[in-house]
Amino acid sequence: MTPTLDTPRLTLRQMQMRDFPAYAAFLSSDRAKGVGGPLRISGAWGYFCHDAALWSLVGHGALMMDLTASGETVGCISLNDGPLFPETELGWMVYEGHTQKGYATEAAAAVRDWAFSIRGLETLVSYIDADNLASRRVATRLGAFLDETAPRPDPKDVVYRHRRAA
Amino acid sequence: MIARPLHIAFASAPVLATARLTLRMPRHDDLAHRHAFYASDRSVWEGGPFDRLTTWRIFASEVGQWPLMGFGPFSVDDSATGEYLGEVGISQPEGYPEPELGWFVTDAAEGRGIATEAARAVMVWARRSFGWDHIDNYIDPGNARSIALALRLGGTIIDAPGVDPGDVVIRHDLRGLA
Repeated sequence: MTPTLDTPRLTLRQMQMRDFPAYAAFLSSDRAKGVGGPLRISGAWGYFCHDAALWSLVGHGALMMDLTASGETVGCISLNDGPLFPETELGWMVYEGHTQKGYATEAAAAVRDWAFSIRGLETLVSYIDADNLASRRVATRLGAFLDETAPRPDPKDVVYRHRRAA
Repeated sequence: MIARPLHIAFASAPVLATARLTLRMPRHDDLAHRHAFYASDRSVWEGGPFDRLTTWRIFASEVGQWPLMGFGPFSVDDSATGEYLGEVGISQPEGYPEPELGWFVTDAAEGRGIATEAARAVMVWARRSFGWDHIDNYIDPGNARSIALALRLGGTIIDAPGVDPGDVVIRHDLRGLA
C-alpha cells in the first residue's frame, strides 16, 4: 500500500482530507498554470481525489511533502498515471513560501528511486510547461534529460526522462 | 447532519456479501464498464454522456474517497459468475452537504433488484461503521427509475437541499439497521 518515504528534510506521506485547502489554494493560483490551472475548487477536488485514488488503481500515486522538523506541509509529489498521461509521470508542486529550497528535488529523487527500485517501473517522465524554468531546473538537477520525441499531454510541455540508476 | 468519520477505519472498501452479490473495492479494469455506461444515454441523469477522459476523472475521484474519507464506491459483482454488475456506494465530493448514497448498474443488471440488494448492504455497513442515523440520495427529478428504487428501499422524499437545483432528496432512516 501507500509508503511513507523519508529524505534528509522531508517526510513523504499519504494524502489526507486536511491537505485539501492548501492543495486547492495552489491549484487555484497563477502558479498552477503549468499543471492545467488555475482551477476552480471543484476542479481542484477532482485532482485531489484522483491523486489519492491512483494508489489503489495503479499501485502508485501522490504523497504530501511534510517538513520533518516542523510537520508543516510544503507541497505534493506524484507518480501520475491513467489515461490523462501518455506515460507514468513524476510531478511536483511546492506551495508558496517554500519554493527555491530544493524540496521538489529532494522529494522527487526519493520517489523516483522508490519507483524504480521498489515499484519496479522501467521509466519515468516529467511533463513541464516550457516556460516553467524552476521546474525545468528541478528536472535537470535530478539528472533527467530532454526527450524531444516522447508524446506529451500538452504541446506546450517539454518532456524530461528520468534515468534509472545503473 | 451526518459527517465524514474523523478516523479512517476503511482506507479501501471491505468485502460485503449479500445473497447474490459481492461488493468490493473498485479496480482499474472496472473502468471499461463505466465507459460503456457513461457513453450511453442512460448516463443523462448523471450529467452524461461523457467522453473517456471525463469518465476516468469521475471514476478516479470516486475511488480516491476511500483513503481520504474512509468511504466510497463499492463495485458489485455477481457472486456466482464474477460478472460485474455495477457500483453502489457513498460519496461526498466538494460541495455536497452530506455523504450521499448512490448507485448505477450495467444494462444487463437492470430490473433484477441488484441495486436494491447492494444498497441495503451498504446502508447496513454505514450504520455499523459510522453510526449514522440516516443517509440521503440526491436524484435528478427526471430520473424516475432511481427515484422509484429509492422509495422501494424505504426512503422518504424530504425538503432539503441537494446538489443541483431541483434535486429530489430522499432520506433513508438507518436507525432500525444493525
